[in-house]
Amino acid sequence: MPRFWFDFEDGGPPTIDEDGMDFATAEVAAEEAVAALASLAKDIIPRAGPHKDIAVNMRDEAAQDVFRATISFSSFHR
Amino acid sequence: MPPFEHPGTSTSPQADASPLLRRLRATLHLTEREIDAVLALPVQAAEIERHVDIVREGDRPTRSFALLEGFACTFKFTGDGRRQIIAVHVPGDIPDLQSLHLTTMDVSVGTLSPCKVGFIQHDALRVLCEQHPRITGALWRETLIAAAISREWVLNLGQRQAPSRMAHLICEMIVRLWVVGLAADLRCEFPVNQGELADAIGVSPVHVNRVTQDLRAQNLFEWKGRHLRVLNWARLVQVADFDPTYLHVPADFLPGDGNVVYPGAFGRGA
Repeated sequence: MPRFWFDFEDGGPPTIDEDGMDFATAEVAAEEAVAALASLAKDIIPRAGPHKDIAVNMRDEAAQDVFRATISFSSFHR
Repeated sequence: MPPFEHPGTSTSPQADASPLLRRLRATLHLTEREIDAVLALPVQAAEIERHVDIVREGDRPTRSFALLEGFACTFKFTGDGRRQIIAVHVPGDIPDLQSLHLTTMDVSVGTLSPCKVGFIQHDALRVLCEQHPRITGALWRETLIAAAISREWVLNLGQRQAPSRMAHLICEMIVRLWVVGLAADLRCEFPVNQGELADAIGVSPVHVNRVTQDLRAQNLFEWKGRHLRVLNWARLVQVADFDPTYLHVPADFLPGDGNVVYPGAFGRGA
């Protein structure tokens, strides 16, 4: 099975995936990346302040960036 | 006589070799008659490969099993195929003891690693319980502790953030394995893959991967394959928000050298 690496960005220095994970296809890996981003968002956004951008970047075995997902949060009081 | 006996201080090699007996004796000083009765239970031993269901939701078994070696888990699926692992089982557990009284299984139990199990017919268990009420009490207590663990899992899944959920699961496994002599020096075998961890702590596998790397980078543990070694127990306990009260283990059975402060019930929620 091909391996993919998932780096996360949440405003600070990106957290680089050292280990990677195997998935059957890039499509399946990308779905899992999105699920992880949403899962991370649940923990991060409530304590993030008024604005937060988070992202996951997926690399393949050739070290190519093959998928990116972002969540952009902003809020303001009326 | 001490009310509790540390695993390994028994009177015979046979008694020491029975994880079930070790488990019961951790909380109850059994008489020779009671020890003999447990050892005399007709047990059908079986070896089961990893990732095999031992008993399934909907089954109506006429026997229960004790986990003798290896790891198993209790789990359920949603209608659309999403799995939740509800409990992890270590040697000494009787994961489906409830089936003695609840005829239909409302959960499934399967292996996480290759396992050795011992099947015990319900009829034999009933006779044991009728003849030895203190053993009945000890078995009842086991089911109560399983329920207490489930309640902590509800808190873990409902309210803790992913890093704490993961740290909490590790702390729980270390304590439970420590009690049955399988986590000396805070090292143990914990044969779960990331998909299983994900199903146990209710986050996606890639998130599990991220959290594991983060916790490792904080030098809280080393984890290679199934070999887990906790490096900083006190700090891991803090990150996990871990209070072992729910495991109902005697205080002198807990890891740590007396320096570890477990967050007590007093002050929580304040």
